[in-house]
Amino acid sequence: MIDERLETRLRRDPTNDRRHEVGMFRHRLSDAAMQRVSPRPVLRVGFSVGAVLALVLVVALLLGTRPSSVGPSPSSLAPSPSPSASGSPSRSAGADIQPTVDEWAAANGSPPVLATVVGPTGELWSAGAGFPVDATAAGSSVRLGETARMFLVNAVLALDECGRGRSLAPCRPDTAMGRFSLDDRVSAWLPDWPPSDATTIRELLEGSSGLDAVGPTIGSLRDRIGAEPTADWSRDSLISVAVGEPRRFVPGTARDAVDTDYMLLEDIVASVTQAPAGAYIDEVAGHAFGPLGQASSAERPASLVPGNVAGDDRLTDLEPGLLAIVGDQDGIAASSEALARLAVQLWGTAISHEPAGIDYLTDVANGHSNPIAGRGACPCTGANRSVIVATGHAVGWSSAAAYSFDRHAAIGVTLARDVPDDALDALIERLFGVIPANR
Amino acid sequence: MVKSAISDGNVSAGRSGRSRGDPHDGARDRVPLADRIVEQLDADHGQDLFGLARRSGLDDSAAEDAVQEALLRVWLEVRSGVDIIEPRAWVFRTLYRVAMDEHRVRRRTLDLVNRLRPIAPRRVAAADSLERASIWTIVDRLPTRQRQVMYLRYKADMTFDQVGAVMGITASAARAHASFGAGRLRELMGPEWQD
Repeated sequence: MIDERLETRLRRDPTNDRRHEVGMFRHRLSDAAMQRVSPRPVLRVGFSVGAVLALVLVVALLLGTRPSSVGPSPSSLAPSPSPSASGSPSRSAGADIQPTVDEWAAANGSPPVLATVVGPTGELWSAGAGFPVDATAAGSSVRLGETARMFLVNAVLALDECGRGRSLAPCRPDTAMGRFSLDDRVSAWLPDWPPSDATTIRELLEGSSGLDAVGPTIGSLRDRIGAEPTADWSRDSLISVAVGEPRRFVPGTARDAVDTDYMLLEDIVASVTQAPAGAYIDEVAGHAFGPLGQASSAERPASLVPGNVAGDDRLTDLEPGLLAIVGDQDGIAASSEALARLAVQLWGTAISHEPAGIDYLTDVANGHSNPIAGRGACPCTGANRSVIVATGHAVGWSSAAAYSFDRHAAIGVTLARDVPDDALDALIERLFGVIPANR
Repeated sequence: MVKSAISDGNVSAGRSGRSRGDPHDGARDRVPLADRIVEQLDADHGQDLFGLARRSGLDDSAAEDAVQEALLRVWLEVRSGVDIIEPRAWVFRTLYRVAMDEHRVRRRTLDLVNRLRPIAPRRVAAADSLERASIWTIVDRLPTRQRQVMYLRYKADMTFDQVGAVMGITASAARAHASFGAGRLRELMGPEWQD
């Protein structure tokens, strides 16, 4: 057994552990307070751990395998399963993906579409229809529209966690990043913001600022610019006008986010990091498993697939002036594979954010339609209560990133035509239907 | 007083350590009680819980997270009407489970990242005099269970019965882990510590 001398050292010597901060559990309590009281509360962390356990393998395969190029046919791309770690990809599910995409495309006006599915054990399938001959799931980008906000919010949350000393993502606490908080006033980070205005960054994130919209959509903004091209269409002017309008509601009393909220968040990221927001967005998106390959609004990726607008006009890209206005909150370009990988990273692992941060990401994807972290509410769109879907529309393109907690699977969809949310939801639902639930 | 000592051989973390309170208690009425219990646990044992989480293989951030989670679970239980007879035992037991779950996830994730990324050469520090300033830098090189037992026994000041209850093992198994750990510790500390 242990002699007295050794025991004395064990009792006396310091462990040199970091000092525990008493009272920090209050953060968890604030989350818990939003839960419905029940005799046997269902704990989110237990759920997260379970999901993470199942999805660690998904991530392994996602990163350990390069996506294979989809087939050569310009009209229909063959599904391309990647081998799983176990060497036993679920070929039956993969085989069903192409027909699922084909059927959906036929029923929805045959938009060029490319879908990537990451299965529960890491299989990576891509299937498409109508995309260019050389399209690949990883190398074909579209402008994302609102789906780009997932990348932006990912970065904002990383800054907040950095400011609280709890960052899982890149963090430089000795810079302004170490002082950032979601509860800061907007005026703390944007010099032109009225100091007396009490709007907080959290209100922007939650969509509860009540600010007026700039666009409100890329399409409507593009139409206005086209109708009056000589007017002042600078980003700063448009934001100033939107901010100068009466609030749509008293801040904090409702949640209805508009593009202005996200444009300001993007400006704040730039202010905090002292660099274009896209740089930190990229850093955070790729911190865990390497770059996802998305391009900021300031870049035009060579792999950008031309979009299609009404009248079958092709759109090689959004106009630079329009992209300068909407910025990265709407203008990021990415591939279907990048979106699927992002969805795995955000909802399938605990590698990027604390549970509260994941709640915010879910809230943004849901369009702020449910209570944040509300356990009794539906964390999803449509009737499926376990699926999260973020959708975006960018004039000649649309996109979606989705995750299913039932199936431990993620989907990224890119389209070279704008289709309605209902159609995107239907495609996501059908694709998840191919993956067996709860393996 | 909320703070409770654990009596030897009567540690009951988990179901046997709890009993349902008055079913007519409103959850709202129990919030102040839950607050008091958790605040007391946090103040009295937060550092020890943190230390156990660290000895369970978690880094600082994850360890702090595990402590918060364990405290939150106590809070939720009390709020929902459960009377926790041995709050200290309960929270240590819960922390142990949370930490081990988290450790398993993180270990796999780290394995994954290490496998997928080029690994920078890791500087291996020698066991210099500075390291030897605290015996715990050496304890932390022991296998997980041995260092957990050492920590609970000599830092959290628990009996082996209590240690066993927290870790879900028998008291004699806890003793065995401590004994093996001590032997290995002596080896690592050099010939002057050998029997």
